[in-house]
Amino acid sequence: MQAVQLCQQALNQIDKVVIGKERQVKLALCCLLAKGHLLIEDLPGMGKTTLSHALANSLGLSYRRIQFTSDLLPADVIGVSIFNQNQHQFEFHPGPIFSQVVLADEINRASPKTQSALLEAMEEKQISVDGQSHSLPAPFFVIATQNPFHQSGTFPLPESQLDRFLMRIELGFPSKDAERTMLLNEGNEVVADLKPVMSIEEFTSLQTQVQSVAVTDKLINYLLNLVHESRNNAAFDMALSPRASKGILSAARAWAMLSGRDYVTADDIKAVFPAIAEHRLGNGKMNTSVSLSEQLMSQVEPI
Amino acid sequence: MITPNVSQCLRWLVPAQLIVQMYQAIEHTWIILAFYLVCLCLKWNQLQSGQKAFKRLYRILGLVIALVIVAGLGQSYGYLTAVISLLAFTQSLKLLEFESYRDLFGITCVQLFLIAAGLLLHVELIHAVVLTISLLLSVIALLQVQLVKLKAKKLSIYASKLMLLSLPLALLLFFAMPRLPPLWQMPKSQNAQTGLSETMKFGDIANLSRSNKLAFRATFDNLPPEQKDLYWRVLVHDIYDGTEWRSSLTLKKKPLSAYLMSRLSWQEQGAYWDYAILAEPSYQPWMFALDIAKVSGIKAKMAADFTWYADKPINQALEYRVRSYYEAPVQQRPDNWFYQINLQLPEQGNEKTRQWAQQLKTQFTEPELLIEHVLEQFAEQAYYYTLSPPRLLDDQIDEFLFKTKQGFCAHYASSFVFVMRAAGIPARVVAGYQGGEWNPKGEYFSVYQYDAHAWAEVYLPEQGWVRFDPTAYVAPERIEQDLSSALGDEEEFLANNRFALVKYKDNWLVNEVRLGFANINYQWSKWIVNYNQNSRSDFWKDLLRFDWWKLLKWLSLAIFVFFSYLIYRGLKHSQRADINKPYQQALSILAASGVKREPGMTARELLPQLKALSDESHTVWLKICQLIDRHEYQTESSKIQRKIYSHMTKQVQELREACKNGRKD
Repeated sequence: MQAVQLCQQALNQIDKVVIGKERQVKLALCCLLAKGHLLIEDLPGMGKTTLSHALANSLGLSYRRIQFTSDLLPADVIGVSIFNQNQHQFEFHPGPIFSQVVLADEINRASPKTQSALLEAMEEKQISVDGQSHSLPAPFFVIATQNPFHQSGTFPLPESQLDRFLMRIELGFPSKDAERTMLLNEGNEVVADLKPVMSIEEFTSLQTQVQSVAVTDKLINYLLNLVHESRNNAAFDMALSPRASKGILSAARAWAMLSGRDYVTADDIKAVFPAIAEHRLGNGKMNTSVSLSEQLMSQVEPI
Repeated sequence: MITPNVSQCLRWLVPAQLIVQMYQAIEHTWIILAFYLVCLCLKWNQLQSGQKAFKRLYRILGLVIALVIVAGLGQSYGYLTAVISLLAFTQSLKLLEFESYRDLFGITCVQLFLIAAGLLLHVELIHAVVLTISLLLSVIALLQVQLVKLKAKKLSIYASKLMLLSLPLALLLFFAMPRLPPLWQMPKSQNAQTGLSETMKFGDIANLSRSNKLAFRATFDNLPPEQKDLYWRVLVHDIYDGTEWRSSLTLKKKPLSAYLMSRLSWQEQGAYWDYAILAEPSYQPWMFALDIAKVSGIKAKMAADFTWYADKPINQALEYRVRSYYEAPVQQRPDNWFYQINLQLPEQGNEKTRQWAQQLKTQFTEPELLIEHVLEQFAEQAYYYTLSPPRLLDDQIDEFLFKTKQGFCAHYASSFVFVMRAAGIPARVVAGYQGGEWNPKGEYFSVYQYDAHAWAEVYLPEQGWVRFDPTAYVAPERIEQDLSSALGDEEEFLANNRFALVKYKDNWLVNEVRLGFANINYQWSKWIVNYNQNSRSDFWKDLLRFDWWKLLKWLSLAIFVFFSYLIYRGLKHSQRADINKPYQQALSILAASGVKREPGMTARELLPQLKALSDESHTVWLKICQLIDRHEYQTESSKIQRKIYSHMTKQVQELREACKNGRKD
């Protein structure tokens, strides 16, 4: 089956449970196709968990949820070694992180120590306990959710750790129509009942296909101009890192594939740019009147 | 519209302009340069004080002043000076109002004209180099406006590359363009005429000897003759009116000339020299040749006195071939006409000389003995060869022969001829050049104006016309070596030309350098300046034969083709890259229809607005978006890209229509 059709099926299926959020769903899928971790930021009860669960189910990936609390310890996330008296040796008991999709719910409620344990695992794709390293399953994704900063009892993620997330998206309140549909549950769909639309092999082949989507010099120039503008323009406190520019290109490729094209356009970049750039440009708060990424894009001409 | 950084531009422009202004100032009048400097100072002052542009009134005032000066110059110097100074003043005034790119364009155009004007009169290599530098500087000034940030070094490299790119075209024009004879007579400036003139006074040749300008060059096919045989005949003077010598046999008097020709008897026989003459422009028709000569290669006529005249004055470097029969005797059937011309003397004056001649005539019956006696007098008595003889008043010949006894070649030649005629022996004065400097590097003779000379020809019944040079008896060094060795210690050769390198030719190094440069100049004139119709037709003949010259031509042709290909590719490339142009057109059409485009927006982001405008324009715009995406972001071959480009231009037209219709609705 063709890549576009597979992706479209997955999107359609998720859209049935996350109603009226087509764009965010597409971005989330795009993020996973680009092998990036996703940060969803919103108020409680907006469907963050539903989205991540639906994603994992539709893509046929194993799914675990970790509820982050202020007393959560690193061992609770990655697992512990326990002495087995029968065999007279330590035995590693893997934590909930050993799963293909990990939902780190309300990540900013946990202590920085626990946060960083998770973030290390995200970067290394493996964990070490007692000098022994244990590989995490592949593919491995972390979908973290966090409450906005103004909510009490939060430990905000530092910039260096925000940079580990390819995208940060927000769901926002649903429209009236969407909410009506949700309330009446006309679709009659429950997240747990979602069937995978593709095998893990198909998913990983999609990931490799993303990397072969064509880009031209013109496009790279546009991307470079954007990134350099963020570095040279004094209006932006924080510049975009090379990791960010690599991420933008991968995500734009994935977006192009989701749109059924085998080449990337400036529109693809603009589509994924706010989700990737906004949290890196130092705009901690969402929903502010001025979007830094929009400001940046208006400084650079696509042609 | 680009607004140039004026002072940045002037850094390049001013030297470029100074060069051409200087050329015209030296050639015509210093007023040209003075006017330019005044304008430059005014402009400088304006820039320094940060004032605004000159008011219209002042500019008109400047124009009026310039026109008045031009009119004045036209009155006193002739209309060529007027035209050139008009051009130069235009440049100066344009500099004054230089604000915009358009002004710079005008300035550069005038600059090109002035450079060409400089090349009209100065064809030597060094002038070509200097004027090319001026051209380069003005190209840089043009570039500087566009590439404001570029450093001087990069800019000059860029400009040089641009000029090199134009070289193939220049070569093509040089080789392939027909050299049409000018449709109008090029007006010559007043001091342009150089060399011998139609009449000869006593001081003329001495004046000419103060100039180190080149007269012509001669390349001999075989062994060149010795210095003392190099008598380059130019003009024959046979009428004396007491103060100056004139020619009776100019070509203007056709019947007389034809009649005299018919009475000559001579044959092209005996030993001969074959050589080529490359004459510098003299703005005179007369040509240079040795002895009895036959000129080929150009249109020219021979007069009855064996001097040669070109059809037109030699206004540019001219090459022709000559064969000189140096042993052929010239017999003439003397008649009344002959004696009347060649024995002509003024009615009266110089009585002392006449008496002496009569006395000699009775003393010597044989003319040969008489001639020998007179020449011995020159050698034995205290005659002195000098560039600055004392002024002679009435009865010049008497005064010279018996009183001052100091003179230059013209004095000796004309006195000698006077004595001969008074003694009843037909004789005439020949003006021309004697000797020449052998350039061992290029193996040719350079003959300069200071080689100008005058000698005598005497008609002896058995031998015909025989050459006698009285100067050779007074100052043999002049004939065997050159002028500088003939002049005494107290007299300086080229006294008012301190920097003439030829004065230092005893210094080995200076001489080597001088001869080397002279040779380069010679090759330049021979192959570049004098590349005329004849050598061009040779080119096509050469195509059938192989030689290195042909190879060189083919090579330059190949270079031309290669560069043309590069330019062609460059154009294609730029066309492919330039979809932005129709896109910008489309955007301006949309802007006229009220579509607002925020900075940084892509084409597709405008689609919602177009939907609101009209369905038709929406469809067209969607097509445009697809074309742009394909062109910019899809890796397509350049052929398809060009197709996309042409589709794009069509779609922009359709968009124009659609928007028009939309507005009517």
